[in-house]
Amino acid sequence: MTEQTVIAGLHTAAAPEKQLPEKQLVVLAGNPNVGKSVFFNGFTGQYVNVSNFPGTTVDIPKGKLPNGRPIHDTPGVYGLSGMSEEEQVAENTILSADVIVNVVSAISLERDLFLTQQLLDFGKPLLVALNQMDEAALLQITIDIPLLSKRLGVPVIPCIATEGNGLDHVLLALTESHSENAPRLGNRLPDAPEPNALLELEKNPGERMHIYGLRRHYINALVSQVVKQAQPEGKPIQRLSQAIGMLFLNPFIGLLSGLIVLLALYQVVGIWVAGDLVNFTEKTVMLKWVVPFLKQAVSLLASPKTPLFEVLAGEFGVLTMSVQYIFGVLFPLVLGFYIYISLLEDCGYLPRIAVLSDGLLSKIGLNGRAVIPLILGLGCVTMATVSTRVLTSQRERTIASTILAITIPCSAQLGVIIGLMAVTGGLKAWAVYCAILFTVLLVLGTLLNKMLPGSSTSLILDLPPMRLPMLKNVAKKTWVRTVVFLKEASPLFILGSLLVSILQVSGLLLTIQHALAPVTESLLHLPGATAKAFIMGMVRRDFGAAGLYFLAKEMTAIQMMTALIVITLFVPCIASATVIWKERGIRESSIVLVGSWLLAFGVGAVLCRFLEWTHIL
Amino acid sequence: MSPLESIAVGSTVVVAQMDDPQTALSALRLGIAQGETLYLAAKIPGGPVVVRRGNIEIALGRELCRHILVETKPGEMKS
Repeated sequence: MTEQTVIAGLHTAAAPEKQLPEKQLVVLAGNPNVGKSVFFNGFTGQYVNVSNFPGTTVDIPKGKLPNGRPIHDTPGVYGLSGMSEEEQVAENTILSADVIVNVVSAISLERDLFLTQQLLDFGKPLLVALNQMDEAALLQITIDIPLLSKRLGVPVIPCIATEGNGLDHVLLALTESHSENAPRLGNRLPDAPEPNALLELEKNPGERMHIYGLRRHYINALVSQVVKQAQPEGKPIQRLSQAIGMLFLNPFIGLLSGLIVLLALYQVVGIWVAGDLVNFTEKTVMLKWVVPFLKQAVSLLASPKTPLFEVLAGEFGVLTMSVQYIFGVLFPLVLGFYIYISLLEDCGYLPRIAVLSDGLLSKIGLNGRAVIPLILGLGCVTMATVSTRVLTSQRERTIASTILAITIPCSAQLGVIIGLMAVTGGLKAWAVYCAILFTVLLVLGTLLNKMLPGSSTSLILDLPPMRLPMLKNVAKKTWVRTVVFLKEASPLFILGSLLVSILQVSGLLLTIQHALAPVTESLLHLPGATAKAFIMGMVRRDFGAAGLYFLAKEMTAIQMMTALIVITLFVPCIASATVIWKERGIRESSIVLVGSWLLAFGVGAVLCRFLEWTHIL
Repeated sequence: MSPLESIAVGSTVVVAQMDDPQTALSALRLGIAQGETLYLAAKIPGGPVVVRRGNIEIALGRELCRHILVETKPGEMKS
């Protein structure tokens, strides 16, 4: 040990036991849609996840204040109760903070101050940024800020973040240690136990309910003293954004708009992105330029036809297929889907869809929230399975990921299926295909709901006001989600293609195909060669459907329908299987895999006989 | 006292009782507690009920609305 470090050690020991201010972690906390992101952006100039609805990935944006202090943003939460994975992530980050900037909305203080009080009760130094003061003025809400500050025992700084108003005051309070607005410990709930004891108590359901009740009544009393709103008694003023929001909740308009949104989704993501764009990125960029280059590079290492070459750069090569798939197909597809979803989310339309679909989804053990993973599944089932993390209970996550794995065709697969339908069957075939899948989805969901122990949670959803989407938000949100997804999924795709190449090089793939051929012939009344298409479907779902292209000429419309349904219900692609395994565990993922085999062949066997008997097609 | 589910759109009600603990917890956080006044803004057929409290709107699943008991007292407001 040198002399210098000894002196430095002595020096810190002599100083008060307090971290240096520039090392202290600042965390932004608040309810969803209160403008936390704008603060984070304003402080750091960096990107942030501005969520208008529980997001599809949980990530914590991190940045630095101008004086070098680290600052983290958190997903919006209404309280620290660990009700979903998103909430747990927010909770962990908030509890690790040295100081908290609690952003609250001036128009919904009763709701927002619940979290504030909980943070104070947990003994966290904080300051309150009272945002959306402009909207409060429009609604004729007046807030006695000095009184609010006095009652909470912490600084309250009024802000209009969208106009940059008040941000500098908050920043000053964070960077200047002697600022009068510096975050501090505030007033805890009267008679509240010590913060650490409280943390333990709140883990006990009964105690928690009691504490939540006390806190709620305390906050309501506080708000009634501090906030005055001039409005006619009884019927609250309806804002324009609320009126528009109500319009979308009208069942007729809701259904109509839902159809339009789905058709637009089909056009934009299904035709333009999954069709035209992916055609270019995969067929031209990847297959003509990148893959030949990779093959050449690998051939320097191992000569073609050797097992090593096949594993690295063969038909399902770890280098070639995963690069081709991740950048040629997944990247444009997931990007397109996330742009679309982020747009719907940012304007406040998604929560309305969640409300409208809640009735139906609650019959299959889900609630309206699950509509987002299900829509995302039409893009990429792997992406959707990851997004089931926003669901509240494990039971719902099990149901949603099973339904996704089995009944929802991903867009890569849909693209090929659309092409095949155009050749055999047309519109009638489409209707039959959709009707069958929908029926299987309902039956499967109902069965799971009956079989799984417990019951699912009801929807309880705060509806954000409708607004025009902010393109900057949408762009940033889309980008971060895409990157987060690719980071998470890419290793799985690589692992998947490794497994398949090994199967192929070892000859096992061919053995499985041969074993399967008699089943397809006698059970499904299909040509034996379709077995190959089914096996390919495990590698990539669209490979399976594409395999049917070559057989289309020798198949009848009934055979084609049977094959398409079997291939849709049949095992999810290897990447989504790996995600299910990672997210849901080995036991559940095995059940889903085996179940999908049985279900696919069972439904297929019944279907082909039914179609032959009725002559619908 | 009647379940929130059976109340007509446009009514103002006061929350009397919440049965289900898990949902009562979520409701408490959002501001729905015993004694609170809610305005019933919409009912989706076979689906959730949308209530307005102050300046926020909350959708409550139908099943949940069977467990929230309310009083209809349009004239008597909580001050």
